Amino acid sequence: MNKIPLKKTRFDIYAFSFLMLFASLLLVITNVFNRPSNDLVVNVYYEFNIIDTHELYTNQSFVYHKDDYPRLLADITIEITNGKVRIDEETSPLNYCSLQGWVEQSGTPIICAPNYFMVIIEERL
Amino acid sequence: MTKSSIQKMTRLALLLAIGVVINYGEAVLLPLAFIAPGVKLGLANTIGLIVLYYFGIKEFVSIGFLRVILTGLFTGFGFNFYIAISGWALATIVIVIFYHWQRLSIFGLSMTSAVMHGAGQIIMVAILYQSKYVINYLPILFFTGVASGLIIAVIAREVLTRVRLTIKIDNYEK
Repeated sequence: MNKIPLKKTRFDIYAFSFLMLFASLLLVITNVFNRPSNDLVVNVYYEFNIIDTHELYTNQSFVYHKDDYPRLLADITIEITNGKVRIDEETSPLNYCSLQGWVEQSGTPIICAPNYFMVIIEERL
Repeated sequence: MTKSSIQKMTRLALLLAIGVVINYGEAVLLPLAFIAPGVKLGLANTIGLIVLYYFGIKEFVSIGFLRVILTGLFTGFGFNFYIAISGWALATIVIVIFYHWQRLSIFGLSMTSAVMHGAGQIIMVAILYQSKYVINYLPILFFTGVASGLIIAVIAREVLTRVRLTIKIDNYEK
């Protein structure tokens, strides 16, 4: 059986440097090549399919009812305000998606996993 | 069944139980999702590193898999489970490779494992939702993964140092 060293080795430094470099490179690549156009919208997913698309620059709230989407644990309210979106009210064991708060960056998902529900700012299809 | 195999099984079962409790406890008591979605310290991974150090790679893989399954029993085998198992699978593959390479310490292993865990999860989300823009979130999980991996390694090393001392004092055969 191999014993893992408890003291850091020079290969740890290499691994650390590689990961930081790779993450930085990925940040640049995704920002240059995978950047959506300025025509952004808020896409709402349920069970891995888009169920709604909302304008990003608006001031509105939308309620998704459990009656219409049976895998929701309860009704979910999303709020959109001038380029930002958040999940305002939801029911889940840990409330991760409402705790996340406002999101204004495209590509950052707000995932309510127990509800099979996701909100994300994306390019208009 | 020999005495040593019963001892080994008991210890592994205990570590598995501790891992599941830490996993659940962390989610309830230490939610870091407000920093960024999917971000967590992953305190239960200290148990994985302890298992890897004392028992080896087979036990590490088994305990990790059982922890994901047991957590699934509590939270359900839905979307949560897909994300958890994909993160675990990618992190475990990388750990197995680096463990056999024998060059990385507990710090390097923990760091790469945390980063790959996040990568596996985001890849699964991108596949399920067929959204290429989710990939833009990967660099954030890389940076936070490096940080959390290092913290977990420090905690695991401290635990291992103390447990080793206890074993020496008690003359407790490993």
